[in-house]
Amino acid sequence: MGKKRTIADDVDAESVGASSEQPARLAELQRPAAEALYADELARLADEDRNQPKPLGWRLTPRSVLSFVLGDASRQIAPKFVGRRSFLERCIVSLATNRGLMLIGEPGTAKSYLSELLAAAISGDSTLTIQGSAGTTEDSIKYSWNYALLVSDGPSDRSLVPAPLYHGLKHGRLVRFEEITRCPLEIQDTLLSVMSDRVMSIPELEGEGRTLFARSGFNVIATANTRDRGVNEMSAALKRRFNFETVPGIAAISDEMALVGRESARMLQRAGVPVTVPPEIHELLVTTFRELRAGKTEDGKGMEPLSTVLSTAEAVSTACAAGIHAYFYGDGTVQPVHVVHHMVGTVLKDNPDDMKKVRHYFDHVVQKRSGVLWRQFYDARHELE
Amino acid sequence: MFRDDHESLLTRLCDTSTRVVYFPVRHHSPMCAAMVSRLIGDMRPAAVLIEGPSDFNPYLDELRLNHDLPIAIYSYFGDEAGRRSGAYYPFCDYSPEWQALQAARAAGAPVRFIDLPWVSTAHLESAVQRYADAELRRGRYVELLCERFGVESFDDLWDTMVESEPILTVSEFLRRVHSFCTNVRLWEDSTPLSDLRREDFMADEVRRALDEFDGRILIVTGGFHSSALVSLLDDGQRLQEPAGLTDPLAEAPSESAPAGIAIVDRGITLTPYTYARLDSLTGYNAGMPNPGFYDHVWQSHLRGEPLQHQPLLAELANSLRKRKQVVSTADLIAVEASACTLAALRGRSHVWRRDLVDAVTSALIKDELEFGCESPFLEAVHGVLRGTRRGKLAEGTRQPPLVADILNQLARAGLDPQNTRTDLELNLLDPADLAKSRLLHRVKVLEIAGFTLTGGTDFFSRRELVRLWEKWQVQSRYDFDATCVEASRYGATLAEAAAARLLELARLQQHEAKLAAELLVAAVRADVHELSDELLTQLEVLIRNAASFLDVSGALGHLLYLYCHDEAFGTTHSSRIGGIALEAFYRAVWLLESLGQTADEVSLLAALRVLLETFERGEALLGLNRVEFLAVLQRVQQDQGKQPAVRGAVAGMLWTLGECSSETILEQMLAFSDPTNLGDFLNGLFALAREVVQRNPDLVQAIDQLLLEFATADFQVALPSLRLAFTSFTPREKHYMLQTLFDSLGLQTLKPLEALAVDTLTAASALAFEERLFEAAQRYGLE
Repeated sequence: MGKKRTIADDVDAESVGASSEQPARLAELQRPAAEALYADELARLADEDRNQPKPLGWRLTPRSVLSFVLGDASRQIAPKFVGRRSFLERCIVSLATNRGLMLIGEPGTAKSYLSELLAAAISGDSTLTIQGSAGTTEDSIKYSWNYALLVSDGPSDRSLVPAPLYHGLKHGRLVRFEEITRCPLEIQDTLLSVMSDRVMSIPELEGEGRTLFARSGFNVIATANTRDRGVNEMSAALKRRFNFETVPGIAAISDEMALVGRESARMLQRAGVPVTVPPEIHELLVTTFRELRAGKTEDGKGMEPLSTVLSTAEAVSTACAAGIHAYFYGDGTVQPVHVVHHMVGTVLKDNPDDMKKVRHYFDHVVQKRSGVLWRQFYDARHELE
Repeated sequence: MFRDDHESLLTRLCDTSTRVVYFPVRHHSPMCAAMVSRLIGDMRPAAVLIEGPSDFNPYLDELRLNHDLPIAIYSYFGDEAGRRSGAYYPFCDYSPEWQALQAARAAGAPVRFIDLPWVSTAHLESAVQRYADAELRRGRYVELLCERFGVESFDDLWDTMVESEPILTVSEFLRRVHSFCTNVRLWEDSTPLSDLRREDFMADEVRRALDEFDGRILIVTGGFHSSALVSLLDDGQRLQEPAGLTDPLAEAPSESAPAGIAIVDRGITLTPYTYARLDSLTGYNAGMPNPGFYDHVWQSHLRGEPLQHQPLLAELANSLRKRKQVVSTADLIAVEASACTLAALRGRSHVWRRDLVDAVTSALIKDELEFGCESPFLEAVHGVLRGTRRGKLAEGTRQPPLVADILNQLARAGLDPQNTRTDLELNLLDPADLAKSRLLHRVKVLEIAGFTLTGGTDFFSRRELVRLWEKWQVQSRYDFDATCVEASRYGATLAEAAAARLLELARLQQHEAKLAAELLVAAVRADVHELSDELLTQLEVLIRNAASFLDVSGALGHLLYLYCHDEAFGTTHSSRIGGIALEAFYRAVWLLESLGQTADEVSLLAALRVLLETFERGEALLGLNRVEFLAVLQRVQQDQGKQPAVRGAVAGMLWTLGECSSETILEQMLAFSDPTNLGDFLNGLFALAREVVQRNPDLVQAIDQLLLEFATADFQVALPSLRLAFTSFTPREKHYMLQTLFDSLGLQTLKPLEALAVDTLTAASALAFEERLFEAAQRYGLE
């Protein structure tokens, strides 16, 4: 599946993967699934929960799921996702009720990663994933046929090729539906009967096989990007069957700066560029990104937010590009002018309205800031032309 | 001194067999209220000492009257310098202090308030809501416990530890609350001076009570103070040393005001209160949130039933449906299921307030929810949790202080309402009249019956500012007293109440900066501008977030008037208003740059005029940045996407500011020589560069030239907007322009046009015929 990798993903996969002893097989994988990566933690939690009441079909109690995702020092569980506790409690509870969970948010807020962690903790399997796209068909959601067997044997369990939803219903597991709003409406609505009646009918089969009833433990976690809203707006009927949760971005500027610093350093190292982007440049970059993203300066003045995505991941790639630029075309020290230059390429792309907003931001906000770097940043505004 | 032995301190605190028993409360906690009643019933103390202002002791009987809660004790004073200060001690049905009073009365035990009066600590403290719990909210200990319990805030922590426990004995309650509060206190390195002084005073009062009463005494104070009182009374020393180096007023704590402050007016009385007010408190003044919810908890307790959340859910559904939100039965089932599951996950046997809020967030909201942004669903759920109760004082209570204040002030100004109608005309430039006007405006803001503003200068449109006057009608009305008492929930003095009322209006005004600026003008007219800092902050926020150019420039117009032109109200050059005007100016400039097509050209040009005027007036005064402003104007002028009137107006602005030559303007105009656009462009240009246009013969000539080149049909297309454009000028100015044109064309005399000899229809058809003739001639090359 074309799983998108997020930054938080990489960080955690690396930090935890490095600390725990995984079989050699895992090390060969580019990106192991969460249930494989955190197998010991999950096993330990499952063991502790053995005699606890759990929602039917769940591997862990809701409380342990919470510990697994947010981390719990007292149970020696590493934190994996940074977010508010009440938000996560709501997510977990949604999955225990008869509604699905819809995670929405800006790109780059680790929605997919969160859904992977939840599926791994609750079902012990995060691989039942449907990737939504304009080309997603019903076959890749429910089931399709092995045509050779279909012709020779007729429709039977043997000739049926199950897709993630079929698996999820049959074995009582969580199914992940990534980027659901990228699918055409009629494909999204395939979920309707499954979500409300918890049953999938397979009209081709005879007898008992015609209806597949969901086992306990089945539910759907969907993710959707707020930037894709309006592309394929979900039907009201389907919306009703999901509980919506907005995944917020990183709340604290210090956390975001640290993350950008770490990640851009790692990417530069991988690219073989011996340049370090100084922390002051990170501060400049992250402050600018946050302000443009929120449409509000750090001291509370309002602006128009950009329509382009300004996620943490974009900040990382801008910092990285600035570093590479400084190394190959400059003297190896990253200057504010490099940042401005690459903001145009990596972030602003070809949106003239956004360009206008950024110019306004420079004229009205950056210009008034004191400090050498901000001044240099302002002086580099010609790069925006 | 730090007491090493925590355990012995705690054992002493929880001991209910001693002569002095300490009961810890968190103010406005139903569980504390239930526990204190039970303890008083069991213990039958000889006296109950409560943390309340000791200067209210002479009036304790007033609390026995049949009031509708919430009410508050209001303590106020004014000093020689004319500064006034007041503090509230609010009570609701479920306040532990209130229940202690009731239980003590039932047990026949006398009651004393033992806290220092407000007047003695006001100089050390900022919280004017005295039953707040800022001291419990801070500190590392609370953070640590929150983490341990897996909750997000102090309020949730308290609910988990105390409030939502279904079965709690008095001794277990005492152990938990004493232990929590003592730890909060001991984990902090120091305690504010004001707390220490209050504790010294309370200890003295307890000693006095021990002498006075034979038998056991119950001390009901904030849990934060219990351990300190034990230390003072048993060991004779303070638990901790003060935070500051020395006590600035190191005399023994007493009921009187500290030396150096001369009090001229002082009082303490009851006043009605509301749940909305209790709930809206934040910061130092914050107490327990969601009074409506805890009221519900208390009512369940009184009926001896376990807590049912269904009535709240029903109320929520009603409130949502009233707001025209779709809530189906299936949605309610989902909310109910989520709430119950959340409660279970959080280890509770019944649904609590946090579970309700989260269940609504989870099951009903189907949109992206930005942090801190309002959703009608969340508003409704908070509305239900807030509750709508408003207090009312019983008949025969001393009148609330506001009533006395209003009567006093009206009498002093000679404005007390008479049975016959008095008409009053006030000249706002006369200080005596201005004072009267301010008083009347305050009364009007509070909707006190009998005062009507019937005429005067319109400060909103600012059309006629030559004479600043107002006309009022004053007449005694039967509901005058009732409206005064009603208004007293806003505050105890007229100024405070008017400010609070305006602020309430401002909070309702979440969207339009212009209306908020009008409220500011109203505030200035009622002279509450010094008090209503929050109003200005609100306006600032609105301006920062405003999305409409017309809205912001409307607000800017009001602000500019107050800042630069106001003669009557004394706001000229006020730095705060200037700051907000500055903010509004830059916001407007930005919105101008991103402005789309607007149909309302008249308002648009008026708004641009405000912008120009602000810049001309404020460039030096406010330190506006000329380069930045001009850069924006130039970009707007060159922006093909802007409508012709805006581009014309901006060209006019640049011209007026002397930043572009008449040649540039002519070039600009030629770009708009299309008959559908010319009029609009000129309309904008004339509106913003009225003076410069008249002095410039070239422009008039160029317009003349353009018009001559138009074919008749084109001319007729252009005519309506051209007419509109020239309405910017007075007849005299038009005459002058024509004169300029004639002069430059070398035509010496200006004759009136000849009157038509035939009727207009004939003339029009002749013209049309001529037009066709010329066209035909041109077609055949016979020109």
